[in-house]
Amino acid sequence: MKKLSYFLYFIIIISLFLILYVFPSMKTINKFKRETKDYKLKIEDIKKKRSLFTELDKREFFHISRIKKEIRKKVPVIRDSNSLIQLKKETSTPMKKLAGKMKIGEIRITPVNDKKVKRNTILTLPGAEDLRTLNCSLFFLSSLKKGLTFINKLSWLEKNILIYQIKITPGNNGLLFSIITKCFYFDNTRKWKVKNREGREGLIDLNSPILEKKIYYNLPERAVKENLPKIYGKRLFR
Amino acid sequence: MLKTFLKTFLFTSLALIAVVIILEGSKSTHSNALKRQKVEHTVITEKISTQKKVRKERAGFFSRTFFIDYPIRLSYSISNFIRKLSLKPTPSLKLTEINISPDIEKFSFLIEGSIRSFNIKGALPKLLNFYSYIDSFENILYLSHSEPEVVKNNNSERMQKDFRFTISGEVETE
Repeated sequence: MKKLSYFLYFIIIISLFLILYVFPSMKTINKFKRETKDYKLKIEDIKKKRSLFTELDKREFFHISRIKKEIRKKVPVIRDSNSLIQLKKETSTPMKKLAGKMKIGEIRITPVNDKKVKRNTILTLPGAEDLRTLNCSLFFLSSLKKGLTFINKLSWLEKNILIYQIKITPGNNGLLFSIITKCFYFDNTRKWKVKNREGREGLIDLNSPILEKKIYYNLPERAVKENLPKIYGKRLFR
Repeated sequence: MLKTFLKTFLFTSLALIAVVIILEGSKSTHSNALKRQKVEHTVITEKISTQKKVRKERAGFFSRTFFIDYPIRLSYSISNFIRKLSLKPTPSLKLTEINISPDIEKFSFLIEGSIRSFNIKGALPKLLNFYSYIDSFENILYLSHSEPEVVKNNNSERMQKDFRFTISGEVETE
């Protein structure tokens, strides 16, 4: 009887030891093992990605600073209401001059205050929360050839002018063109907050593999100021 | 009897102590390994944050280039598209309005016009002819047209009628 009680006593002690110490310890050790493995995999993955990645070099800095200079030249900074009035003049005068040079005749240019037009900017710039647009509406009567050449050359002007809407209808003495343009500027008068979408820089996805390689291996083809072919049809609108 | 008990007790205790030592040793080894991996991971992720900056700089470069060049591309594409439209000789078909709304990398258009014909059977082939001409442009992304509808309804079957139509679509910027 005594032997049995001793046996039971040992069994209880060993069982308690297993339940209260050995099993939890094994569990913890397994947890440590699992976490270590996870971290190892993560590190390996990052190392793999890093091996493909190249750091910025002088040539890339040159390209980046060149494009930033171009932006500063093309997109003016507005600091007060006077300089906005000045910008309105600076935008409409070259348009009028171009129209005069092309003998388009009378052209009416007016700033647009339509909220819908103002809100939709189409183009964005990375980190430029103060990027705004000055919208102008243009009306003129002209032949198809002159009108289209004018539209093509509008974007060649000094300021960055984007065509936002075009409507062409037949008029009495030619075609009636009504165009809405957007001229971009940085607004320093107020704090405009237009946040970029997360995970994107401007229009580019930050996870894109193109960003792993040096810029000069993937230099985008620059837009060329190209004249339209000289062949036009005459009987489109009659 | 007591002696046997003490012996067994001593032996069991020693065995348990040995198990404790082994398990604690294993625990500390694995915990140290985990700590090392954590440190390495934080170091490597810090390095990645500089990689993010580089990515942002590069993305900024591409975005800015696109920002400057897009208006030129868009103006050319739109005017060239309308120019190409005008090249099609379209007897008895005239356009009454062209609307163009640009977007990123593309622009959408809506063309309204009318066809002079005796009946819808005569108007439809003319419309389809013009439609397939537009469809033949290289950079057309999407195109659709409406059914021609009579504008001026003359009762006499000998008189020609005007059939109104619309063609809408999207064009990729050149």
